[in-house]
Amino acid sequence: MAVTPSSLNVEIPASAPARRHPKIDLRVVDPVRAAIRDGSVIGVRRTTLSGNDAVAKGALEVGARFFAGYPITPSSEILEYVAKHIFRCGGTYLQMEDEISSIAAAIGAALGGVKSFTATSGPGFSLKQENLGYACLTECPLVVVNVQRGGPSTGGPTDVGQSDVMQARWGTHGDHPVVVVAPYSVQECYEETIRAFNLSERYRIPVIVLTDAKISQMKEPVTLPAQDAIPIVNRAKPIGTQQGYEPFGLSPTGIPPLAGMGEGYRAHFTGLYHGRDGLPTRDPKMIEEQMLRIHAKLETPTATAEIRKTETYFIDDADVIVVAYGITARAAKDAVVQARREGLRAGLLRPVTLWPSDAEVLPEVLGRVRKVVVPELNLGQYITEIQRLAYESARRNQIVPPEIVPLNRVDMQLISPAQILQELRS
Amino acid sequence: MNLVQDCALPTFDLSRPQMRKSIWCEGCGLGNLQQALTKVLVQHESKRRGLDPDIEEELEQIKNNIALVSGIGCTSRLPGHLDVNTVHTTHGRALGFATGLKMARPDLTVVLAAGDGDIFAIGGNHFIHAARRNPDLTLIVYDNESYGMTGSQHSPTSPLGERGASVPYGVFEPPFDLVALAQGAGASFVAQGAVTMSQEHQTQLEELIAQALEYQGFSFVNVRGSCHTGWGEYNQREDAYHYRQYIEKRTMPVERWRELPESEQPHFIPLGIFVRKHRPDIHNSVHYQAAAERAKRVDSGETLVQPPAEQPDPLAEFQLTSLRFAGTGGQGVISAGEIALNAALQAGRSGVFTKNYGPEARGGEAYSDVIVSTGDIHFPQTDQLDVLVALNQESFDKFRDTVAPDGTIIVNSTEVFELYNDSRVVASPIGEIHARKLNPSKRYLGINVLALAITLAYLDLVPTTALEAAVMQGLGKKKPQLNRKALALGFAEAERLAGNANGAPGR
Repeated sequence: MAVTPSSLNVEIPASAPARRHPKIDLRVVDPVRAAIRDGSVIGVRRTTLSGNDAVAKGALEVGARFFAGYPITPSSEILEYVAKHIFRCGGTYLQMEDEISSIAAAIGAALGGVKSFTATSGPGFSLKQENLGYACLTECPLVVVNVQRGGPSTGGPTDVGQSDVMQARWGTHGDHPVVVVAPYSVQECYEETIRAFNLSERYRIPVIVLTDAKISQMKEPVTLPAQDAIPIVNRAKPIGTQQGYEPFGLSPTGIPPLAGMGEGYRAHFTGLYHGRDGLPTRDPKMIEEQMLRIHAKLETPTATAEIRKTETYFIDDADVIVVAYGITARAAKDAVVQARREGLRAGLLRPVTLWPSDAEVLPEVLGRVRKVVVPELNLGQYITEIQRLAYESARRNQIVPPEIVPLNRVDMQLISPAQILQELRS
Repeated sequence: MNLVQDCALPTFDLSRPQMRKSIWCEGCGLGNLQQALTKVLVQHESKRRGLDPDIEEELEQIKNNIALVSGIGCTSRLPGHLDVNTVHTTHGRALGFATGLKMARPDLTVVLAAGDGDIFAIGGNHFIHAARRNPDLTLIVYDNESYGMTGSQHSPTSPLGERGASVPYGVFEPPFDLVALAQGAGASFVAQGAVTMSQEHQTQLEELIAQALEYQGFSFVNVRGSCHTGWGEYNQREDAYHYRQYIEKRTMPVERWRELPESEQPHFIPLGIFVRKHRPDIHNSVHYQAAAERAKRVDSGETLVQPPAEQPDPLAEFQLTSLRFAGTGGQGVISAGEIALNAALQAGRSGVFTKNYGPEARGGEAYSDVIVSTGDIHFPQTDQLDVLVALNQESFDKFRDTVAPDGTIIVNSTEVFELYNDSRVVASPIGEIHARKLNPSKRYLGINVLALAITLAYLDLVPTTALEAAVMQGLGKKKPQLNRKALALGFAEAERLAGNANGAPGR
């Protein structure tokens, strides 16, 4: 049998350098990973799952009790998993008449006080955009899973793509805050869905889980924490009287508490600009205050630390790096391992949270490397953000920015480790 | 200005103090609708929950358990005026929001107020599906036969020939027959009221809304009303009084309307209840209850184990083997791959399983890929296969070229006759062993486990105990005897093949 990933298809030099580096440094304490590590005391669950099943399982285990979806390849297995298991968890679901009402129903349930989510793929994600904006403006905790496929239009329904990176950030109209996470393995589909729900609850914001056709369909062994060890965040509830309740009020955290319906706090939710009381307003000062607040709530030091997440892999002494996310980061890891074996000072930056982009780790690393390769299964979307961060950091520090090289594929095939390795070598 | 004389005031004030000023035009019928709804809602809720609205705390409870949902348009501003849980959503989608809310929170009373453009045009799909699905919602549509807020464009209920901003020369597309539409979609409570100059009509409207709230299931009340500042401007009904009179003089009880000749019916506005029949709402339907009950019997079957040891040095070299199971649909090659992955997990290896996507595999060729490794697997595919298991001739022909020069191809020699003298081939009469010795009740049943046992044991990829565990925890749960036998036959065949290989390399 082959003794090296045969996908690399390269000769290994006899004297690979043995320098050690921190293997994985996520720069944040991930509560789910911590729970798995703590499993030595209470035990963990080992099983094999597909990416779609892992997303659905994570959602149910972090407390999602309502799901509304519409069949679309390659995300339908999420609907199917939920249909099979959500009753057992005490929740319910609906297959709605279309993509639009799916997200509408999920928001309705979420405003009612029940953690809920919806799942789709490219075309369906496009259809959901208006109501996604509604969730942004009403600060509704919600998780939307988008299993990316080829696009635009129907594109390649069963084929892999990463073409919704910008749509996930800017798909709905208007300035809006949004959090987008991009798992790169089945294990991470589970972990990041849990994190997505926790972030959405903590910050009252829709969180998008951006997977792809490949990860959603493949199966891998996973290690899950014991059910009672899963870290669960629930939205902050108001205290005090109805009269004093401001569902969009100011608070030290910038995140107003959110009552569920029937709990004694009645609120008005509207997609119109609204004041602290939730009622429509045309007062320019109030509109500005609210628009700035919904953005600022993600920019506090606490929020930044919790939301941003970037894996750094052999980064410390790297002079040529790959910035890759999702499925493409897997090829990048193989390429980096191989480059290291060859003696190159190669590394990988893997944004796990795509949006907001990591304004701490990314500029720091981009400011000290010679070359950056950005492989994407699109014609260059996230690379624009990398360029922005790198050029800004270079300008600020008065240095020459690194060479930033795109590596794109839109033929529905994965970018291979060999392709990335070639760029790292040159 | 209250145009309905002696209109009974709502018994209880539900208004939001900050929202007493409305965007509605003076004389708009929406005020009367709001009045009717407010009055009836409190009555209904106090009765339903056994609460006394005269007691302040109990009135609070009544308000806490009502949710009003709307879309976009003049009517959709109604919820904002009332001090209950209110959700003013996007254009056309109120029924989607309300359906989700009611599914997740069946304890709440959920009511919708929306306009005709909102519900029947942009929200038409949601309307028919709500009628079919039957959640316990009450939908009240203020039907002024036009889009008011955007400036008098025509809607799906605008009468032929009338004028509007988007139909300067007259409406030229026919309106919906709302009753037939709702009924055809399955609605089991359909009523129509009107806001006119008549107190009788106001009282009737209250009664219709009360009955709709009472009704368990999707209830739809269409309320014919005026828009004197908009549609009225285009059609010589510029003031509220005349517009309301114009509606009033054409109304008649539905019972009388039904007796009219069909040709005359469109000239009149029937009021009353068109459809009311018993049909359990979705939560209380036999099939929903049965599905929920069946679902509760699913056992997660998970057990806790110790976490795996720390991961190895990423730069260390490791063993990596890629396998493809290929055959015709029905030979179980997808589940063969899944079991192989589980066997890898049982053996403490890492693994990745990919398949050609479901719908593609419905007919004809099917295959699944598994990579098994002693180290971390990142990239989920390989340029070349180390092992191909070909159960039929087509898959052998199709994938032979993707196998590495030093790879192995295990072929089912019962179905694969043309071997092209390929030195990588290990031929095993899998089909014959399957048919003669396993003796399955159905064609191909168990052939995947047999092929898998031969492959993994022949190549010594994972311990046979790991494979046994993977099979018996998966497919083997349903047919333990058959699968045990398939494993045993496979292991025996693997031993025979290994013996052959020692004697005669490359077959």
